[in-house]
Amino acid sequence: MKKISKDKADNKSRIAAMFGHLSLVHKIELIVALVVSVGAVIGIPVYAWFAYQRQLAELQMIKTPDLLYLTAANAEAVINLKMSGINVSATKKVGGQDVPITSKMYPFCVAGDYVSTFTLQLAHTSNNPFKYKIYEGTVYTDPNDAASAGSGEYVEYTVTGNFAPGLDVSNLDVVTNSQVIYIVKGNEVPGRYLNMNENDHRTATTRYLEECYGNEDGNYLNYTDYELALYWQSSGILSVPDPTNHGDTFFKTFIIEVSWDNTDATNEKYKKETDIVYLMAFTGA
Amino acid sequence: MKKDASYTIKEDKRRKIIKTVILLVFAFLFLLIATIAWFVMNRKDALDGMSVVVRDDTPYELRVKGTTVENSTLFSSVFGDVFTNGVQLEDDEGQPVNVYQTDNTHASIFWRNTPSNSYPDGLEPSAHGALKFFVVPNSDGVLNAHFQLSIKAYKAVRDQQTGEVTDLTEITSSSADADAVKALNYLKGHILFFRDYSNGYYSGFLGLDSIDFNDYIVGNDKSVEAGEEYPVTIYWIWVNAFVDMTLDSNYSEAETPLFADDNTTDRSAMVAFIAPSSGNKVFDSMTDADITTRLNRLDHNDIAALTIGYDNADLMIGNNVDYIMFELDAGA
Repeated sequence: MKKISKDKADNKSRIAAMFGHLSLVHKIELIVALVVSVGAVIGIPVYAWFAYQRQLAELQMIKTPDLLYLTAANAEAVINLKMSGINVSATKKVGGQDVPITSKMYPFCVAGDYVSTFTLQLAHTSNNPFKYKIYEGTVYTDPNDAASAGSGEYVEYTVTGNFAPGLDVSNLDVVTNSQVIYIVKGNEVPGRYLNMNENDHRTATTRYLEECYGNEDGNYLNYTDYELALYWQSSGILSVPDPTNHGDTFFKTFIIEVSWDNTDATNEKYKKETDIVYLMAFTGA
Repeated sequence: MKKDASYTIKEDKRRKIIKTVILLVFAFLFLLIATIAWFVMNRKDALDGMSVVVRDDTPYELRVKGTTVENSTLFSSVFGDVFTNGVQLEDDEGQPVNVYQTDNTHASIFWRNTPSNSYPDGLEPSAHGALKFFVVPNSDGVLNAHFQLSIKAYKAVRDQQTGEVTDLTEITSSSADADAVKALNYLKGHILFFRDYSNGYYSGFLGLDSIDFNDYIVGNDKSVEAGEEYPVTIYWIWVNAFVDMTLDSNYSEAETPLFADDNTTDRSAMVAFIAPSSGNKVFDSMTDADITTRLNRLDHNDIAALTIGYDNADLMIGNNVDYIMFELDAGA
């Protein structure tokens, strides 16, 4: 073994010595000859490949997923979702006594298919000192069943039969005849505000100021505190209890509850204010 | 002694001249090869339509048949400098037919389809089709041909007013948009190619390897005849649910399995293909370790978690890719 490596070393040094003894012109000639030879060896197969090359191609569009629908209750067209009629000084009779009403509930659904999880987002202005909370909802067709189920708090919805356009409801457990359904308030959907001011729990921090208003001249003076939207979101909501059934068309019922403190209700200013509320659902994390 | 010395000098000169000539010949050859290679290489970019005659002994041409070129208007406007219809063939009476093929000046041509194969609204999970073409050899004997199938992904550039697509920007592994790069990777793991499809089942999973033409020639004698057409069909599917890749119909979670229950060859090839160790990306928002553990155990909870990862990867594709191109490069 030793001898072989010695021979190799001898060969090496012999080649080095030979190269060393060559004149500069010869050295250049030798290097050029080597480069040309290597070039030819590499070039010929490359040339052969490209000379044969033929190509076929097909262009296909990818469909933007539209598998998720935000709908009114009973998977109906979202036009039926109306958040109106809040009267902060209204009362109801409880045991013969007038008790102030301090909240109002509105049902809505998220529907679709081939969506395992989705994210629910809420954005709203804060002109009124309202609290917004989103709860899971369970549908009952009998008011007595609804009253005795879970929290016992429910909201009524009159079925129109006008389902969300594009949504195939044939496999959904929707109510098809015009009647009133009762949606019982369940667990609160776990989520959080991304930009709520911790001091007053009402206005927005400046976190998304630039995204909302741009950065014109480096100042954002043209807004009032209450018009800055607050952003709330809850991600990873399972569309169907078992994600392996993700091919099933689904609709999941929620309730958005708007509540107020009735001690503020006499404030004239706040009776007249308008707020903009956005609900969004999107697929994925 | 003097004589000898002059002889040596003459000999040296002759040697020098021979050396120089050899060197020149080599240099000429090298330049020739490099130049031709460069021309041929760039033909699809710059020389389309120009009358540069390169070689006439191309071993084969590709032929396609059909009335439709998918998204032909956009395809022509964006890639028209590279791809053309090719040479249209005629019938016996000299009437043009819907058959087109390559030649030296039309090296890159549009694939053609029949309308039933097209997806006018775009592809979505569970979309599937066949990529069909014919190889026309130029000489008799065994033909050595390989095809490399690849998927390229593009984002659409739209006119701000009309919303019409005016251009396409290719998404590459070095694109700045991280989500688009992820989507590109998921595409390669979600749209799969197969050699056969029958009775509702795929077989002969092609993976990402090149395709050998001789696998499509029946019999032990692989020789072909000049001028005849030899069909090659590649089946593709955007797999809708990951369970269909790996589970047979004995699993309650399986939807429409890709493979027949007894086709264990393809099923195990697929299991290897989707495993993170293969380098392929199939599941979104999951670590390689998590995917590996779950694929090995594959209990109901694992299937649920992997299903979410797979669906989210599909959504990543749908939300970040506007167009894809199936491209087949044919070589020796």
